[in-house]
Amino acid sequence: MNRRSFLCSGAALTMAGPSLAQGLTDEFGQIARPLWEAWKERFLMPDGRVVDTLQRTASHSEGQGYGMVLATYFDDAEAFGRMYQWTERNLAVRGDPLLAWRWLPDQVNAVPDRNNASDGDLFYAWALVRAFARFGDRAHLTRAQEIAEALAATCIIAMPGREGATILLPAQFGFVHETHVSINPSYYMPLAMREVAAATGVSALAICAQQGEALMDQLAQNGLVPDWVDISADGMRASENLSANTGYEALRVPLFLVWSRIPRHLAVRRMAAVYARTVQPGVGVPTVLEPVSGTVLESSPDAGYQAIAGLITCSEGMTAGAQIPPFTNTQPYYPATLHLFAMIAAYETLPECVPI
Amino acid sequence: MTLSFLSSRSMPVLVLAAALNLGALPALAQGGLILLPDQDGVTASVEEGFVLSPDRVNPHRMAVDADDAAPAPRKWVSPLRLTDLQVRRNGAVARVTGEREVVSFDLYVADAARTQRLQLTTVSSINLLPERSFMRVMVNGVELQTIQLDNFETPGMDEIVIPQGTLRPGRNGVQIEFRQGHRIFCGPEASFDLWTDINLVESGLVLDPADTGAGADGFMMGLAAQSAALAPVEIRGIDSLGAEAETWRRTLVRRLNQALVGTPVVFSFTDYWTAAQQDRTHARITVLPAAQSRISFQVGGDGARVMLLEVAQGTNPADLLDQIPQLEPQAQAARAPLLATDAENTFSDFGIQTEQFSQRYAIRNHPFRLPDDWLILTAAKARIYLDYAYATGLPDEAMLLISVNGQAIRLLPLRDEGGAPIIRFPIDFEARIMQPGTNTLTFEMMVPGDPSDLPCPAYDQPFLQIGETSSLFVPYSPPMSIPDMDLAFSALTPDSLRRNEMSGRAYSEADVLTLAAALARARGDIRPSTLHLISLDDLGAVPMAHHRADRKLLEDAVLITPEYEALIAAQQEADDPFSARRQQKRGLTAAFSNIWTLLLDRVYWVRDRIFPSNGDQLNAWLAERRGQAVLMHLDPSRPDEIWMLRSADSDMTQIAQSIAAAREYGRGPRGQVAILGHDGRWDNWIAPDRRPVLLEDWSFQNFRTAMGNFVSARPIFYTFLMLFLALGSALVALRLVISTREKL
Repeated sequence: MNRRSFLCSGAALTMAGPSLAQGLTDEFGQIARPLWEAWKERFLMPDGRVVDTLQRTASHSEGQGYGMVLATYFDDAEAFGRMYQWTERNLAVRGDPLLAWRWLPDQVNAVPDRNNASDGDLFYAWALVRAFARFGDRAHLTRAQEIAEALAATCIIAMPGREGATILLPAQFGFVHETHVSINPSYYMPLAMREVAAATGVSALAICAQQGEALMDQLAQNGLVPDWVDISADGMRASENLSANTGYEALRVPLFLVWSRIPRHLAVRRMAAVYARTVQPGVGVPTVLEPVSGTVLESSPDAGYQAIAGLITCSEGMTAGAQIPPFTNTQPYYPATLHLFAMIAAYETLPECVPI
Repeated sequence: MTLSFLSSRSMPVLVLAAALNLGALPALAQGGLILLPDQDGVTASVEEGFVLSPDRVNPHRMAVDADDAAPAPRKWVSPLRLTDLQVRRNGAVARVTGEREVVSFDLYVADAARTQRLQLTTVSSINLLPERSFMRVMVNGVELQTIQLDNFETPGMDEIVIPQGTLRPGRNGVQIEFRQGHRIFCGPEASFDLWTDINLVESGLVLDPADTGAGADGFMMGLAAQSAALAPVEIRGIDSLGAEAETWRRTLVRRLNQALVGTPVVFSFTDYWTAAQQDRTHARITVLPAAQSRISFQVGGDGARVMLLEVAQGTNPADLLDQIPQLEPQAQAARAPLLATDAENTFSDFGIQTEQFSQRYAIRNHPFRLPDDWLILTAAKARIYLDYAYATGLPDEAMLLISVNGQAIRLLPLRDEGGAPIIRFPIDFEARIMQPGTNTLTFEMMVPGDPSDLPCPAYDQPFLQIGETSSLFVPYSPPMSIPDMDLAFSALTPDSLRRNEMSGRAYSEADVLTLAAALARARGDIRPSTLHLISLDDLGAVPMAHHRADRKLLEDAVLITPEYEALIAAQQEADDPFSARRQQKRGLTAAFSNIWTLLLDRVYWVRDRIFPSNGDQLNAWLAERRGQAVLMHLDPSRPDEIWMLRSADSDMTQIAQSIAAAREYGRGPRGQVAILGHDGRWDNWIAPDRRPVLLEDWSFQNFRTAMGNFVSARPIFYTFLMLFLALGSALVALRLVISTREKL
């Protein structure tokens, strides 16, 4: 495809909506297919289990959801089917349509904790919605609808102290406390929430997505968005008991916002400023930061984190092209997956942010 | 407890959930298993006492614990770039052979103030006597240090501190003089056992990765590093330029290859969305369509030095690339010096400087060029006036062999008159040894050991000196041409490559790019020429005019490897143990048979001279040759096209390297068929029936020389023609005499 026509189509895309995006991602899926094959080779087991080596080689609903979303982007019905079957067999063990958050290998009881993870459920539902659109199996949409409804019913609750507003709980259990509710801003993926809502009619997800964007804007007023946030009637603040830093969780926030076509969001711009200041060639990318001062507490050489930094910096128009490194599957599951997400986000939403 | 923020909708459910939680308590105590309550109608609730797994809220994401991680060595080597294609090379390792060799390298530096350490990684032959073996390192003409060559079994690293002010930003010249003395023997043969391998990837300036700079010099440094291991340099996103992509592709490959001296740089063309290579990427070029053209240098996400080309529609590539002085073509991109005909050309005119030889064996090739329309096939003489001097007391067998295009023209003994300069020593040779286009003048010097079974005595004075004031006289030729692939070969460019559907199997995309790189250093835009890349299946497509090259022989030439041939020969010997005895018994019969064969050979020889278009000569030549690739140029009506056939297991990098070397130093493919042997040398077949063409009108001035060329091209044919004409004339005269007498 001619790059100029691509640039023009990119501009038109913003107005034309997701139907055109489908065409673009078709093309991306073909061009970048070797990257997907490399991801599968390393992280996808033959039985459809996505392995997170750093997490005791466990599998999570999040990983299954992520993998299945990727499979739809790379038009890989076979891999999608394998992951779907494995997930249904091993994680769909609750009494409701939601998934247990983790599966542990080499254990008598592989799912000792049947709590869910709302981001895993969300990505799983999104993958099913996308799979229906791409592969045409209505059963996928039906399953997505069940999950969306259950997710809205169990994890979308009223926001403390704000009439009419809702928030997305990280899970059904464990995050609602007497004095406050803890949320994880990186569990909000506005694009996924909107697309699932549009396909299933569960509008609560779309409303929650919109309110989530406002919530993150508010959080970004004082600095970077932290990993975990406590919300009470008195307001919001970085979590007291969970990670209050901007770490491995929160670095997904700007990525998902850019992917959701909100590159001018304050949370993105805050992160872009920090990346512009801290990312240097040959030095690891900051992965844990103090949210207010932006002090780097930890950094990583993994390419996936560099990909996010490259995308976010480029979204601010600071560079021509993006410092997104070539994909490698020698990095762990999490940065590798985010690496592909960053590439998809750049391709879909910021045509000028191609890797240089 | 404040629950006021919970929605009124959830309140009844909360009470229910609290009750259910209480009921679930005993179950929770059982092995830590969290049993879910009946979830019908359950929404968020306060779960006091619900313990989240630490993994749930703080997953382990760091690949290596920061505390445990040892600090990674922050080291990057800006490698030495070998500029001499004649030095034998295997991948990243170059081998320097002989007693004394000076090898030149380019070294790119971004920030001269920060770089002070030069690292050299070498391993030498065990035959080297360490006390007499060393390398002398010079940077930009400044001698830095002499290092003993004593890394024998495994590669060893030596480091030199470069004084401040020695290096300059950009391209620096490094020369290393290798002096290698034999432990036991002395002489030309012993000198072949003296070698040192230098690892080009691990030899160069040692830098901190952060100091490599992002400017043009940093990019050139990265480019040199990327190509040091013969790894392709990625050009990313060029297809985004649509119809203009081809122009840019061509220009970039050519310009970057011209900007770097030495082994051709191979490029790969990729999309923006790529997977990482196994080895670290040091440099690449990324093309972005833009409203305004701009060139900048950045650091990519993987740390590679990136030349970023933002290209607006309709931009002339040269306009953008000319802005960067570092991309100026280097001298090597020029063609070999063109000599004037009918005149004396001093050696300095064609780039031969006064040279001293201090080693027992040395060979030097000097390419030069004659006009494309120069042609001498007669016995006209060319002459070298050699100014030289050699040391006194050299062994009797010391000699200097002078060759032109691989053909020896004079063997000069280096004895008796030593110690004094010999001025304008005339050496005549047949001018027909020289050809239009590229030629090579070779000096090969041998000084035997005295004695040869002891180490050479320490001797630092040169044995021989050849002066740049020497000259070569090239005789006049009228503008003429003769079918030969050299002209088309010289004119090949990356655009010349043609593949078809069938050859796609024999030549991968990477093969084509590798060849394109070798052809990027244009020998000048003489006229467009084409190199057809063909597979064995496609041999029928090669136009052969009247030549009848046997398909099987052509196949054998590239399919049979020397190893396979040796195996077959050994097998045949083993299969027939009585063949020797049978041959002995043949006796008289065999003698007659041999005589008959000899006679037949003579008859065929005469026949071939009279009717030289007979295809058997080509087939006889092909039958005895094996190689990595065959170039064919058999149809004189298609003078600008060459067809190339390759061996299935050939290494395209080696083929490309041989092509690049032939274009730079001569001794390349010529005539009608050329085979690139497994030793990297070209073996050429020149058709005996080539017919010269006069490119101007006949005149008194050109008649003698031009006619001489025509006759010399087919001497037997013209002899017989004259004979028949004479006979015919005699018969006519006889008939005339007889008829006149009859009238009387």
